[in-house]
Amino acid sequence: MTVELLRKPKIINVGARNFHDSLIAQGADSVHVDWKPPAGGDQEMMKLLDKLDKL
Amino acid sequence: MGKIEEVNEKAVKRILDAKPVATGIKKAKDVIPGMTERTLLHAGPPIEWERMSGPTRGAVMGAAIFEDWAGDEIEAAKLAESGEITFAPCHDHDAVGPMAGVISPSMSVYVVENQEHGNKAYCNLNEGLGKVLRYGAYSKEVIEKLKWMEETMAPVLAEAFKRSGPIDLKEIISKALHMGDEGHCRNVATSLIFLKTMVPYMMETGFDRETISKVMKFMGDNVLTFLNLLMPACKAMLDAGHGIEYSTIVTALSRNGTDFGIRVSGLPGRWFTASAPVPKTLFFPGFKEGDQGRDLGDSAIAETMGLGGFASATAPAVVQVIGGTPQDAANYSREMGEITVAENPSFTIPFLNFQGAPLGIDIRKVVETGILPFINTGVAHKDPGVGGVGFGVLRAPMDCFKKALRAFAEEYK
Amino acid sequence: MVVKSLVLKNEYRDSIFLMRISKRLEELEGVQKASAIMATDANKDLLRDAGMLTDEIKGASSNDLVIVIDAVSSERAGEVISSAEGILAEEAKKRVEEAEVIYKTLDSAIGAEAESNLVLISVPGEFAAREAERALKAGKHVMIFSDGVSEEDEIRLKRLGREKGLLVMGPDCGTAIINGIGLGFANVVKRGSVGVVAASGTGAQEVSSLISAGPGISHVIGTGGRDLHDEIGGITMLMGLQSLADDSGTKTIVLVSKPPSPEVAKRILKAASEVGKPTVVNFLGGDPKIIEEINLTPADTLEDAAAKAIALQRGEKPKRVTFSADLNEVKNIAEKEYKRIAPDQRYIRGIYSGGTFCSEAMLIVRDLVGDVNSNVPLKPELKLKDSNKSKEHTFVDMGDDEFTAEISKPHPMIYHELRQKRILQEASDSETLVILLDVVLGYGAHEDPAGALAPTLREAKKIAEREGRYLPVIASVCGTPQDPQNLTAQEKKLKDAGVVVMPSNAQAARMAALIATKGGAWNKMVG
Repeated sequence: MTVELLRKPKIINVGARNFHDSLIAQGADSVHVDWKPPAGGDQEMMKLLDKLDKL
Repeated sequence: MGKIEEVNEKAVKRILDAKPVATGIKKAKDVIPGMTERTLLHAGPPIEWERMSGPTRGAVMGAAIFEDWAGDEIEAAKLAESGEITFAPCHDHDAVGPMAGVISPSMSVYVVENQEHGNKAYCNLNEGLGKVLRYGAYSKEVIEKLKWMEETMAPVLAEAFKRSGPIDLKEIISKALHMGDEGHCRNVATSLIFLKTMVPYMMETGFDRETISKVMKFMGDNVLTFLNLLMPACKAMLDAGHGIEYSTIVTALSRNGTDFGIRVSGLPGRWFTASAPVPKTLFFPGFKEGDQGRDLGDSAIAETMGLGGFASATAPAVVQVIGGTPQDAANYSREMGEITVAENPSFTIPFLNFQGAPLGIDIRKVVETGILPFINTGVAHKDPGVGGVGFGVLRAPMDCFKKALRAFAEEYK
Repeated sequence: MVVKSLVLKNEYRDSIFLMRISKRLEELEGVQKASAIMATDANKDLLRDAGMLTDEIKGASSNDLVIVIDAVSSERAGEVISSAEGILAEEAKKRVEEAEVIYKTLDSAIGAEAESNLVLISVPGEFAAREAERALKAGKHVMIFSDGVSEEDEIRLKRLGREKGLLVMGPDCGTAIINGIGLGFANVVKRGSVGVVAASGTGAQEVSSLISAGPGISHVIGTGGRDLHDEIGGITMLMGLQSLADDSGTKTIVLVSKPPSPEVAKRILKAASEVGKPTVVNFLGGDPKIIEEINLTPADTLEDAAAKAIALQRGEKPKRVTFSADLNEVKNIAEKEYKRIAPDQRYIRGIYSGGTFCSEAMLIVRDLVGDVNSNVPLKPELKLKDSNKSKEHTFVDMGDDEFTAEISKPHPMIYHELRQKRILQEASDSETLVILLDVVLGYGAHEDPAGALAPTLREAKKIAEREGRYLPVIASVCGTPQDPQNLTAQEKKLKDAGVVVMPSNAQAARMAALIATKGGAWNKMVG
């Protein structure tokens, strides 16, 4: 699997936009996720979501 | 794949496999399950008279007058307060109603059947825009029109349906999405297709030409004629995916002018409610900010099915009307993709390279992303007895989804 | 009313786009009518009716895009026509930018981008593990730039990655270069066949920048700062090593880390020796003997690692570099600086943005001058009580969590205010003898670090001068001539501010030591 990565990285950037911009400037394959804290940072909701993920 | 993902996939498959067809017109008391001689169904989650919004009260009073239970709004109000009228959500009786959504026993309703799974859905006939019952008006003109619809329009259409056989509603919606409709605030193309389909059969009925002509004109002049067929079509499709254990798919978004409620597939029999938001409104001439009531109607069943606000990209005109750009319209459709689990291959969006409309709102995704369902809607005046004041947009309230998530985690430990 | 036209053969644009162009052109001064249109017969008729059908357009085909201007003068018409192609390009570019899809969640990005193979995560630490786990479960390699991820989470993620054959680079991994593409903070390096696996971001940056001047880099795989701790066991360094072993484009390997646990070091060295490619190992402060014993090549500084890798790649014998410049020149530069020092000035003050640079410099200076206090000391007893107050010889790593997290400021490689303040603080301290700095270029870093620091450094020297002292400033610039900031221009800005610019972090530390000992350390250094 690393072989494909080393041949051509295709990136999903999650977080700081400038990393995505740098990748685009280098002609790399990148998309950006405008990330926000899950459930708006609501701890109770995050716990519930994580619990349900495990079902 | 997790258990919930697996089950949601099954639920969505049922929704996609559903085949809603319109089979005829019947009186509410004859077909709607649980309808009594003194039942008034209404849009949205359960609500008592004391908490009802202005337009819903207006529609209730108008319906009571229409049914001859009361002579005027004062008598009607007394009757409603007395507890003699049984109020119930349309949704809990296999029905849907736009705006106040009041369906009374003697009203004619479209009968829609899901030929794939057998479930049915019902909706009253659309009165047009402005001063109408569903926007809370109850004047003499309103009642007279309702009586005309009941005594003249419904019988003509009922006869026409007998000759036409079942009308494929999904097909009409699919076509109209490529003609600038989004299925909630814009039903111009759907209504035209429906009218042109029914005209030959209406002509074949035994009614005189003048009567038929008046009915056709009424339907042709009303750009929302098909809304009252689209809504039960969507309900019939979504109900096929309702009541599936472990599913987090939303099967109804619905409002009564006071509360906004959602139904979730894996939690049947329950409503999750929060205060209904006030829509951001573009007003008809003569109305202004502050006139609008809170969000109202079962018509958000369109959004629940990936139409309306979710399909904004098919009808940039709608978003432009409220100050957005065509790019904004496309962005709304994309944004709704973040909170849904599938795309509907039957309802495709040309502007987005014929991507399917976003289908299957997942309460988990709504809570996780903070992205709320985007709704385009008609807006009623906040007071009873006035009518429609314009069109608007809003987001479903987060609290509904958080409540549902809590209940889901409690139920499925 | 002069009509001029331009025919772009075999260029197609849709009608709505062309309407936008026409509108833009018509808004220009001196333009009465403008049309951007495909030269179909129907359109030619329209132009004829408008008096705008030139001979040139008559001869154009329906596959050609034509632009025609009716302007107030021949000159103006000509000007507008000349600018028309540029306007076309601009509008087309706008379209592309508008059309860029930005996802709101990792899940929807993964759903839509089936071919993606790496997720680069730089969200706040408390959320990073969650996103990384999702990425791994979706079958993607992961680079976690974020720090503040717990060790338990790191272990869990790396084990999951190992199970699935996926790389987990990080947490706290600032740099990777995969097939010529720099991720995070990375320099623009020449492509070649030296591969690097590094548990240090700035370490990877300096090594790759120096090798770029030689045979060039195949890949740089980051592991994150904690990878070689006992609990984690070097999972990523081992996987990275294996990837480079399997990569036909990699002929020589360099491993970089701060001191690993002895157990982990042993495992890694064993794995490296089994790869069969020449391998240089820079375990900062580590014992060179155990490396030599299994026929690998030890290096004691980043620069040394780069030099040895270059030599091995070329089949040459590795040489030891103390200073790259002519030794007499070095002596003279040092003398010029230290002869103006006031008697009270005693201590070296290092103000670093890169943790590894800081540690490496401390090791070098310790042997030549004495112990160095720090917020990231080599020995616990050298830990500063207050990281904001220097004590004797002091080197601070301002990229460390305590500086970046507490005021939630971005890294000092991007944000210079903290370092600027510290520089002035040290300049005002009469005991400061010399200031030592690292300046890091490349993608992700500030667009002009030297420009941001130079005014402060000038002021620092002025402060010292006003109080009867002289303040030498030594810096190394980590970067390549291809970096966006332009290495030569950066070095010049610093030199113009009176900074002594050295070719590597190690040499900068040695120069500082030379100045601090007024030449006394010379024999130890070159002997």
